[in-house]
Amino acid sequence: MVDYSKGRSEEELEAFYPNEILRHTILTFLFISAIMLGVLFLPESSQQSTDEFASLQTRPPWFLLPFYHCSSLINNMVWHVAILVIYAITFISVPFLDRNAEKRLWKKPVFLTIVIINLLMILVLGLTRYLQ
Amino acid sequence: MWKNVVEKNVTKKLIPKGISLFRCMGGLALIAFLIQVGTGIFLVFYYVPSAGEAFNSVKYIRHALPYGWLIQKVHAVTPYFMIVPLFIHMIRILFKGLYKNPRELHWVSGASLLVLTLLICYTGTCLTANNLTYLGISSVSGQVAMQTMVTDHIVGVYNDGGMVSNRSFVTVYALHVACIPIMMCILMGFHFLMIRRTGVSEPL
Repeated sequence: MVDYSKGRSEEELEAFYPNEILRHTILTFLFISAIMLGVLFLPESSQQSTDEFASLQTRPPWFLLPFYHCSSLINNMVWHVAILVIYAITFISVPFLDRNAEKRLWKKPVFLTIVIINLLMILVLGLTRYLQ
Repeated sequence: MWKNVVEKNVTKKLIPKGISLFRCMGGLALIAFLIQVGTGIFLVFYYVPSAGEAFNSVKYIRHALPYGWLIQKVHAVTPYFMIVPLFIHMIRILFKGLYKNPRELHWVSGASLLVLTLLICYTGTCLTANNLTYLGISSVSGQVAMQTMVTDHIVGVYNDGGMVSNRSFVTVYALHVACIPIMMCILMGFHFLMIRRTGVSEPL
């Protein structure tokens, strides 16, 4: 197990208990409260899956919207699945693709541009699907 | 012995100062996963993974079981919130470059967990057999008529001439309740082990 006290003075350290535990407890409480608000206010479809209801406007979970929209843009579904798999593999391989010694993204303009374009692409795909 | 373990790992443990709330996002995602496992175990007993019965079994859970509506709704709603800390966690690590040596495998396990989380959410939306399921099937896999075994079993047979087949339901159900959660548990174990070995990163 890593020892954080090595090479650090007492001023640079704090107690895991109660400081960190308290931070986690407060955030967990807020998170569970948000879920409970979602339970009360988020609508859930209660229409059975049939041809009749397929034409109704339904909204998938917000985080899946970009993928749904992507599928409607790419007609060939084999390509759609292949692109998603390649995208996922590229995402997982980021540490091996980014060989720049600099840590912070702000100091790597090319990589920063790629990340921003990807984030914007996901956002635009999701938003356009949502507004359809 | 237990006293020593608790003292070493909790009560007498020291951590670097200046850890922000954003560093707790991974922990929140874990909490959400545990909520999903807890509520999912309850639902497994009553959900029927068949094309004809799935929707009715969800209705039964909601209306006939004591607190069934609450447990089912929590299970359905938690992913909407689970993804938020996961994205924040990933973006923070991406922007600060915390995946650099010696923490490459932290990223690999974490990114794989994000992909699996999205997959488990997708399979979950397919299981309720409501019109959202129909949307998911028709937009993602409806036209996939591939000959390969993997796609045939995972997505191809799911749209069986406009109807959802029982075989597909069982396949997606198995992925949702067994295959993906087991893979997630293994990756989580690996992720936490790596964090214990190399520690969280230094505050920049």
